[in-house]
Amino acid sequence: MSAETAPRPGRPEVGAAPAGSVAAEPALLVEAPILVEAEDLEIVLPSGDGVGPWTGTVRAGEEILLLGPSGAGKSTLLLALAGAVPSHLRATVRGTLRVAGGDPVRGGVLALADHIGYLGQDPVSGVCLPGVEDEIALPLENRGVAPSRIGERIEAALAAADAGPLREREAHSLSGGQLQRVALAAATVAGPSLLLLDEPTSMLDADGVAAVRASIGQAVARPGVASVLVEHRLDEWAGERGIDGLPPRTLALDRSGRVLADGPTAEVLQRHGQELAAAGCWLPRDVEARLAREAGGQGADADRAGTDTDPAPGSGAEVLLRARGLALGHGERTVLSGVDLDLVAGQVLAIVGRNGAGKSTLLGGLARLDAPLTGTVEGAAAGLVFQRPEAQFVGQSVRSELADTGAAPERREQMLDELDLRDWAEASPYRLSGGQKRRLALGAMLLRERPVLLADEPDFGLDHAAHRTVRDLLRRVADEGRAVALTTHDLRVVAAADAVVVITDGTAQPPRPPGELLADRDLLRRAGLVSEPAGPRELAPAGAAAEPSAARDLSAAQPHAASAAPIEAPSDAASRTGVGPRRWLARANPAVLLGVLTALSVVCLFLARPAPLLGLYLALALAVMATTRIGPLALVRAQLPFTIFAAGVFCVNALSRPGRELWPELPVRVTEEGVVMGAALALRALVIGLGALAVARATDPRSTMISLQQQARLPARYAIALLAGRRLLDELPGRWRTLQRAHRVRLPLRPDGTVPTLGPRRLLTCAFSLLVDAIRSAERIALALETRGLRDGPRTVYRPVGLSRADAVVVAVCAAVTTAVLAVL
Amino acid sequence: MSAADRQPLALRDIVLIVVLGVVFGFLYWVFVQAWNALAIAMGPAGDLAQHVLAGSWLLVAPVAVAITRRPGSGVIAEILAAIVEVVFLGSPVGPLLLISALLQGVGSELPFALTRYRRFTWGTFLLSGALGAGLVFFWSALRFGWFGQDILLLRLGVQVLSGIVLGGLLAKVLVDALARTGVLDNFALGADRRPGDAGDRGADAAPVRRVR
Repeated sequence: MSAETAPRPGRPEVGAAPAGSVAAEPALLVEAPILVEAEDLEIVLPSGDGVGPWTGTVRAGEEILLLGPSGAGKSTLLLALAGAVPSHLRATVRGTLRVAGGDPVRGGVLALADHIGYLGQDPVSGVCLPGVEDEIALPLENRGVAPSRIGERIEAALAAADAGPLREREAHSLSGGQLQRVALAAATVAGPSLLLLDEPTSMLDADGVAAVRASIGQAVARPGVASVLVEHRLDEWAGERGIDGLPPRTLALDRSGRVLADGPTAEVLQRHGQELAAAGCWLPRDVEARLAREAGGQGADADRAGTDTDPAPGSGAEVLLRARGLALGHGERTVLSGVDLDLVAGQVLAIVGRNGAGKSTLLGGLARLDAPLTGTVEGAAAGLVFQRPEAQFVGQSVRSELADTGAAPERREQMLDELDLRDWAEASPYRLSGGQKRRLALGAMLLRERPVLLADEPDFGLDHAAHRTVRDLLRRVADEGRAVALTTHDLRVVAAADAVVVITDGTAQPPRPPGELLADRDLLRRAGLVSEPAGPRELAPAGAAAEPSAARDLSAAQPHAASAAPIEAPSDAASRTGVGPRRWLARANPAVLLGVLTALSVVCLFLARPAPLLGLYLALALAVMATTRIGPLALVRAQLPFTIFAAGVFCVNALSRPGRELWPELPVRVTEEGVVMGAALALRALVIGLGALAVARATDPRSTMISLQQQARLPARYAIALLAGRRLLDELPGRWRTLQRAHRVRLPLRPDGTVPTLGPRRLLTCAFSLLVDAIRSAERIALALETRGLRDGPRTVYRPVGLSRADAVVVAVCAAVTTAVLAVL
Repeated sequence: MSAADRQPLALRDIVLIVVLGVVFGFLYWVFVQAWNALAIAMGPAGDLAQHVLAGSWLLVAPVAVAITRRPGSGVIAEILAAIVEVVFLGSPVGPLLLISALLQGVGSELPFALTRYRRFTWGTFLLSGALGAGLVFFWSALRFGWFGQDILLLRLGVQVLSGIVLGGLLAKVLVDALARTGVLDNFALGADRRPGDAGDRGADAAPVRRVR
């Protein structure tokens, strides 16, 4: 375990790594300063799982692969190195750990933020702020870098991560691969000496993996930068170069988190491959092949069991579900057309294609969640398991999750054993591990006894052991006579299927034997299963439209997710490029506008007569039309919600205030006092509402938060956290719709085979799932913001929002008009 | 715990509170569509119908206090939620909403503060909802001119009741359900409840390492 003395093969050159660093390497390594020093470091989580004890060092410039099955504590160890244990992850830490001369256990994330760059697996919460440029500026602002120098450093960091053209983009318009590169740029812009990479490519397709891999390669190749990488998909990571494409040193953990080996990667894989594979760890394909040969061909061949033995697709077996001339899409947009597909009893069909090609859309169509634009789906009922099993959970416990299916109690108990979840029967489904959750979601769908089972990326993010379990389960389901269709990015899953459908160019090609696809390099590329050799695709202007937003499961089926957001997305571009005459009011400072609106609101509170309020309302309406370029009709329409409210206020007052009755002959009492007071109160609501509308139109969230920070002394942590909340808000409509779809497929089908809509109780369950998901996001966002050094101390602001003459004009005009109106009326 | 008490909110608590505000804001928007249609259909009585839901505006404060267990977290939660409403969701109430939020937060947090953030029973939550709704009522009455109306007491009754149910008891139901899922394990609430096994107490005791 003497890592520091381990002989180390030359650093692999990646991408445009500076050539000098390679030549200087061996000599440099001996002298390289120690960056991380651990002695008997052991971390134990409250659940009893733990990692360590580890004694070892990481020297500047070293690249380390952290290998181990799920539950071995790889992420926990990375978090500890980042200073996030116990401040973000509650755990007991024994032994000592020094990182860059500091104590991460006592000091926390902030104490190390200058030295650490952290990149997690979820692209959506890795980019915290709505705008890409602000995201990269944040770590520099937090370190007090002069604003004049921030611009060029953003440029350099984005260029190094192959994300240069994304600078002006908004985060929610980016694909997963793009988001990860932006997150990488944010993690590296301040020049960290230790990069911690926790499965940075696990949520990407082959092209995304290749692009992120190349960018990370450049980042870790910088002189003096050390990195620790956790990665399941070693083959994709290593690319064509096999084991040489992996980090030169490997730290391997066993199932319990004990250190199994620490040394040169090739040597560790050679010596401990057997143990690691047995523990359920993914290994590079050639290592697995070697192990299989050594084991005499048994066991490892499960991967290719399907290919040779099974009959060719469609050879006389019973067709359970038949799609003909199917066209699917959302609203105006057609995603797939001309799809003819049979799902056959006893077969496992793999569906492959790039992210955004329409795989999930196809499954939604086959499950009859979405009505086809044209064409038909006929045949047996289909169950659908979503990519994120959590999206489908409804029960308080594993047992109640299964009970919700309506299956007979004996059958449920039997399923509990089949899924190997008996020990967890009373636990919340959210507490299960990734593999257990997948099994539970599959099991709950199987209990519905639908002849067709559809699964969206059932292999997603699982370690080898869990992967095998899920695959065996699906195979058994098919063998029992059901038809199984699944989407995947994994060549091994393709190999094990009976037939494979490739989705390219907006349609599904006819099923073919997996062997045929695996032999066709070009088709593999077009299916997104292996990466394009070409340069970065984002340079193409169509990149934005072609690539789906990052939350694949969450919004893949709803590319226009944000359009249903409570408010329209603010046009950041407008505030950035300088505002033309179109919206003069947008020149004003948001904090000043909010201040003026507050003052106006308070004045209104003291007015109880309709006349001055009407005067104020008319003056304000004219001013709003003139300074925000909104037409009278649009203004009326925008005020509709609070006009209705104001009308209600008027009616209630007219009817509920004692006083002189205006029309005694009416069955209800309408008083003069009530009408006057009602009119005043209704106008009060209208004036304030109109002011709020004007401020909303003239400001955008970013400049408002910066301005509140600068002019209203809102602490930076709160302002930035609020902006991160704004970014999350963009994601919520898409997540919400995915949750609804995931819950709908759990309901009993209508007689015509379609899926019903959700009742109030199910909607509340969806709301709860949304909350759980959002809290998980909050934890990741908080960690990302803290590793970027966000604190309340002194900081700079890259693009400040200052005060201008417009502000003086706004204040003066508002004061003068209000005074005049009050004096005259 | 005393030293930690004086610290400001940790960043993860702040982000959590913001996210609660954002999600509740979003869900409120989703669910209230239907309710608003009903309120409009009720005509003049729609104004009262709104009161029935008034308590749900309080929800974020007791939830935030119960999860973070920090002084001020309830007040801050309401204020951040109000900023989300005004700045991100364009609430027509405008900045005056911040004053409502402050009063709601103070009212909702007070019962927890009195127990020094140690008791999270049905009673505390009930009191939190009642006080949260009760305190802000007088400010709302001033804003909307309710004083002098025949139905002032009816309004107070409906709002307090709504506060107790939707802004107090519902918060406890929600917090307990969230705690079960394990997502709160790494917040202050998780330190008091041992994850996995509800009966197990004493988070500070070192856990026994499990070997597989």
